[in-house]
Amino acid sequence: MTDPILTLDTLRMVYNADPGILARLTGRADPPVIAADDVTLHLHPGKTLAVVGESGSGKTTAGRIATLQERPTSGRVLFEGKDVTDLTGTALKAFRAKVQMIFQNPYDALNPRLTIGQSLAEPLTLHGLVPKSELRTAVLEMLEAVELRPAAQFADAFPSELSGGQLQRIAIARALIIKPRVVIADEPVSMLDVSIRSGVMNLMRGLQRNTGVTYLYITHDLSVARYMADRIAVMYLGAVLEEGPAEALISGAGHPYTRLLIQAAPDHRASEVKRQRIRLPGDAASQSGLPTGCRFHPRCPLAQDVCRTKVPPRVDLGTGQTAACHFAEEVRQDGLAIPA
Amino acid sequence: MTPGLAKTVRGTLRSLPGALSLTVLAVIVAAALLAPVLGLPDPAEMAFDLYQSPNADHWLGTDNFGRDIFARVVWGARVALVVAIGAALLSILIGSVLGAVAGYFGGWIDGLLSRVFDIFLLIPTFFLILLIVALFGASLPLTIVAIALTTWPRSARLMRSQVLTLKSRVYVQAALAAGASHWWVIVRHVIPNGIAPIITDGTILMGMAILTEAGLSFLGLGDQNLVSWGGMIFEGQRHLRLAPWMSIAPGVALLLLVASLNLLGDSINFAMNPQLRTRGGAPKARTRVAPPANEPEPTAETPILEVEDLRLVYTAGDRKIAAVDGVSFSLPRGGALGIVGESGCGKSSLGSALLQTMPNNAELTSGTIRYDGKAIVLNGKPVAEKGRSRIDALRWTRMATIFQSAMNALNPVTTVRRQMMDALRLHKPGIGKEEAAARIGEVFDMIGIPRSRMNAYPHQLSGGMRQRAMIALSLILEPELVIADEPTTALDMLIQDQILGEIADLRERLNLSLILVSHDMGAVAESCETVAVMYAGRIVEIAPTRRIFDRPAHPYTRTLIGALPSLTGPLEDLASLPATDTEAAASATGCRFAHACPAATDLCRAQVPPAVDLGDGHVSECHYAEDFAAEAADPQEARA
Amino acid sequence: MRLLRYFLFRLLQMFPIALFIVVINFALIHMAPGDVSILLAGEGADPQYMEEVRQRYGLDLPLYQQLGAYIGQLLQGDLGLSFRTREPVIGIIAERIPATLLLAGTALVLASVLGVIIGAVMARRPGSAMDTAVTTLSISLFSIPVFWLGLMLILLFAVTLRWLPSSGMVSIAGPREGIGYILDVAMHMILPVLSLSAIWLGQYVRLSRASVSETLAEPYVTTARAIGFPERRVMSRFALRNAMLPIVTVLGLELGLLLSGAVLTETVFSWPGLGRLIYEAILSRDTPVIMGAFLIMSFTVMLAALLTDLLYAALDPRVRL
Ligand SMILES: Nc1ncnc2c1ncn2[C@@H]1O[C@H](COP(=O)(O)OP(=O)(O)OP(=O)(O)O)[C@@H](O)[C@H]1O
Ligand code: SF4
Ligand code: SF4
Ligand SMILES: [Mg+2]
Repeated sequence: MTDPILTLDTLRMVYNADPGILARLTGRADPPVIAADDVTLHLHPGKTLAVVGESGSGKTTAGRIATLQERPTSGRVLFEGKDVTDLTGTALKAFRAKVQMIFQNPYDALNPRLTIGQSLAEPLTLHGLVPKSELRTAVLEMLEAVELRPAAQFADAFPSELSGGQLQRIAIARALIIKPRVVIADEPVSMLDVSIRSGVMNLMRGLQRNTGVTYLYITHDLSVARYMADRIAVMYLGAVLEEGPAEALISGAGHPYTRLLIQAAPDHRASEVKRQRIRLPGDAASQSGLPTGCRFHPRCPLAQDVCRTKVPPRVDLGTGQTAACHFAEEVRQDGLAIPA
Repeated sequence: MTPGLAKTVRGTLRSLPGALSLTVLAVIVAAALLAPVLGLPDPAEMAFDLYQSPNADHWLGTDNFGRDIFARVVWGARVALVVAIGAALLSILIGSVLGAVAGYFGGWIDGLLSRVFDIFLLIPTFFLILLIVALFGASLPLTIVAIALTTWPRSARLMRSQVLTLKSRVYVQAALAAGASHWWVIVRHVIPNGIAPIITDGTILMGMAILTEAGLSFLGLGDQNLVSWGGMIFEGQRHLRLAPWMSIAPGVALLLLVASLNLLGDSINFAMNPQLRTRGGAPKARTRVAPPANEPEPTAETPILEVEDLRLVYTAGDRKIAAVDGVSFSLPRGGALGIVGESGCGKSSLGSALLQTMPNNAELTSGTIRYDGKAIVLNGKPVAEKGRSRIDALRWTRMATIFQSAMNALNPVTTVRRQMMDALRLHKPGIGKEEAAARIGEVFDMIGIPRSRMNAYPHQLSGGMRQRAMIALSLILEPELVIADEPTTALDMLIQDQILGEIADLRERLNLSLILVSHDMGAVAESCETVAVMYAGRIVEIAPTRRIFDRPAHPYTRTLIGALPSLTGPLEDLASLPATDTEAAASATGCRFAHACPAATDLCRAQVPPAVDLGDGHVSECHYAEDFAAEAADPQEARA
Repeated sequence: MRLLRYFLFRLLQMFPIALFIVVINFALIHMAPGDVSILLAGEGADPQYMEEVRQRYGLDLPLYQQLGAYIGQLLQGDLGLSFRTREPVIGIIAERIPATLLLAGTALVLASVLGVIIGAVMARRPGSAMDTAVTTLSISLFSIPVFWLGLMLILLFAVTLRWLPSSGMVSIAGPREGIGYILDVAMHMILPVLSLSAIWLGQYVRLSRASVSETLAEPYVTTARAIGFPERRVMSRFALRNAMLPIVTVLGLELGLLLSGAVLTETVFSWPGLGRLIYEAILSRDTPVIMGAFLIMSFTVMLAALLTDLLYAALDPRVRL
């Protein structure tokens, strides 16, 4: 495998770590929130890594750290092998030209007071990449690339005149117009209608083919991850539970959580007989006050005594797949059917 | 000018109060500006004609020194406007800078500044100004500064909250991620988008400043060298009996100016958020009709719900939106119907029409709804019997609903248990305490909420638990039909799956009939026997679940299915559609899907497609339905 | 119990605010032109009294010790002596409070109850012609300078029609006890209460209209209707209860604004309350009284804010105690 272009190395991110004195004295301090805890991810050039997890699992935090919009409490961010965690000033600006971001909410992605053209030209101006006289040409070219035609008409429109799918295409155009090496996409289609979603996903795949850009694709939907990505990382409560090549991970998941996610995905192709659902004991996870041992044990149908006391190791399942579960091998073999 | 700004200006000018107040303001400002060249008598010039009531020479009369009151009122406008503009500008300037700094940089700076803003809010400002002026001596500039010094926290708090929301706006985040500096972001993105409410509030600040200055002058703390309306009233008070006009005129002027400023602010506010004016309200009275003659008695075969040609139209401003545009279906007792479609296609509107909980700007223009054979809506009008709407007799006891967002659909200030108790008591007035408690416990057990959580308030429950509480509430009176509008949207995958499973279980156990509204084809597929696909207000295809997935006979259904990535099936490129253009769909003369349909022909654009009955309850509104039905949707499945 | 802890916590938070207000007062005295001792003692005080004041406030000491001395005096409830009457300011103010409470309290109750009702009724038909008219009218109401409204009422009801007395709290030769006294005070109250509550009414109508219509648009109100609660119950149990929250908050926060209206009204009607006292103090440049009144008013507003907070916490379970 090639060297990773971007690496997140054992990141940890704690919010509210330090409440004020008054808050602490009166016992009204918010508990600290562990948004990310031991996250390691590698992005390989020209490939897509999907990060899958439910809300609050820390996937957005990982994305924000990868673009250095947020600095981790501990851990490192490496870009092309160099530690960039603490970059500031012009070096940071140069980094930003290479690592771009696409956000979840397209309806909020553009300044309502600027035309589409002005918004698209902004990154070019910021980095002084294109002389003023050629801005317009560059903008029109980019609009063509994201299949918004007639480009000139779109360039002069205001955001309020466009639909969600069109807005997200423009957000993608804005991220790609400065030709970054890496794009972090945070649930770029989750707010769009189903029939529009696939268009945006296809567009992103096409752009990758043409430009060789690397994606970190954040989603809560495994099937979307499978469609978009070469590798998938499954996050839960701030940690990566399982990581591996997309197909291998879905056909032979080694972590019970991944298995449950696959089972829970509604699929119209499923047989007429209603699927057997496993009643899960716990409810949605909370990030303050992590469980001891395996962080998934309160909800895990396979949990044993050892899970409550010992943090599971990261088990290497071969072919680049790892899972953090005491019984990873067994789960991979037999799914959730293994005897308790 | 951006479209938003243009809309605001237009909206303000169009509203009567807005136009009126702008006119009055314009007149006052013009008078104040032109005062020296209007040829008025000198406002300070004393004459011998004291205490003259209004006459041709002195339109508003003269005062105790024989000064012309009209001239004094006009000159007084200058003082009022100087105070208003000076104090408001100063206050906004100080306030927005400090508010922006606090909001943008956050942390301890924000902590400290916010405390200061809060403290100032608690200081009775009028008394502080009074104290300042009393201590330092009365003069106009001092008054202005004192007013600004006590009112700036108002602007600051406003600016702070604006900046706080703007800071998290995606375009601000995006600009920062693109490498923009803080100053660039503040100047280009934050201030232009955050300033509007502060300017609007400025009009109210101006009114306050004018009233404050007038109040001070009335207490004798005004600038003695200037003509101020408050001061005029102060003098007029002593001659109230002899020359009431001395106090009337300046007071009217004050009222006009301040009221116009306040009204203007109000109109701008409404123009920016037009829904503020018409939101909410009590349900309006709708004309009710008598039940049709000779309704057959329901039999076991009678569908629990029958809908025929239902149309619902919203009126928004001068636009009409046909959100439900001729929907018909029938749901057998114990059956489950899934209604899928994309955002804005009218699913929720359909649900609200079935439950008769539409907002006031909605009108049923046609359609009949029958519940268990009895019409509850006839030709768009609610059916009443013995003075009571039939729907009211069905509510919750026979027909209940699960709303999309339990966070908002449950009353936030009442415990979950209490809400269930209230519903129970409403419909079973005689029920005893123990019996009610037992029933509630039973439902909680059934839904899988631990009894220990019964006395929780909605906000104390997790998202999944809250949604379960909403389901429990809907089942408390053992209804026959439940209408669930996106019951699992916004929940996490595992919990969504669990709740869908529970709904399916309950349905079997309680023999419920179910209408499940969703934008998620997959979710509906597992819970319903029949699926209806909605597009632009119509059910374009309805069929048994397996059938609609195996042999969709409408191009729109096909795209919906083809656009879903599969988790376990083979990897294929996904189909996609251009965005639904609701305008184009609504104004289409032929098929409303023609503007986006990959198979559209001239026939489609010219003629409305008929409802083609393909047998076995499969109906599709497409000219080529039969052709599509002949080929399977999914080549893999066809081969299998 | 939790409410009590919350109360203590909020009380604790009030201390820095109180200190801040005292410091403002202190700073103003020192920044104002003229001799501090004159401001504290009043103009033209005799030298002996002036010396006593200098001693008491430590005016020869460094500034921070002066602040300490000043706070010390305040803590003992000593707001100085009125320069006009030579009586303790605290006593003079206390004497006037009942009259102000009677006037402002009556007007407040009247305005808020009526305002909430009118606003709620308007919220049932938002956007109707009636609603627009009432909105415009209430905006105009609170745009009226209260003192001018008072004058106009006097002009109409006292001067022209001679129905009601125009000033004071009692008739000069009127009864001093029994039902006659109460009636006499009531007659005197009508006009000031009318002018004061008219202005506040506008505020409350707007507030309640906005708040109730906001609540009526909430999904849980739709739920209540779908459950089948009759509209009257939806209004009282769901809409009003939830709409009260913002109304209560604003009521507490705007007390300061309300009190300023009371001062002006009392001035117009020669009502023997705090406002009138302040007016007299301004006329005679009796600074100790003005400062004392400012402090008392500030503390009153703080107290009101505290009580509002508590009420809010009791009404809304979402407040973290
Ligand atoms: N109160 C209203 N006033 C005016 N128009 C409305 C109102 N409510 C809905 N609409 C419009 O009616 C159409 C249908 O809306 P509806 O909420 O029924 O769609 P939906 O299918 O439930 O969408 P979603 O999936 O987003 O919930 C949309 O165009 C919407 O903008
Ligand atoms: S370690 Fe135990 S609790 Fe954790 S996922 Fe594996 S089996 Fe479940
Ligand atoms: S009628 Fe024509 S345009 Fe409409 S769905 Fe069928 S093929 Fe497409
Ligand atoms: Mg909806």
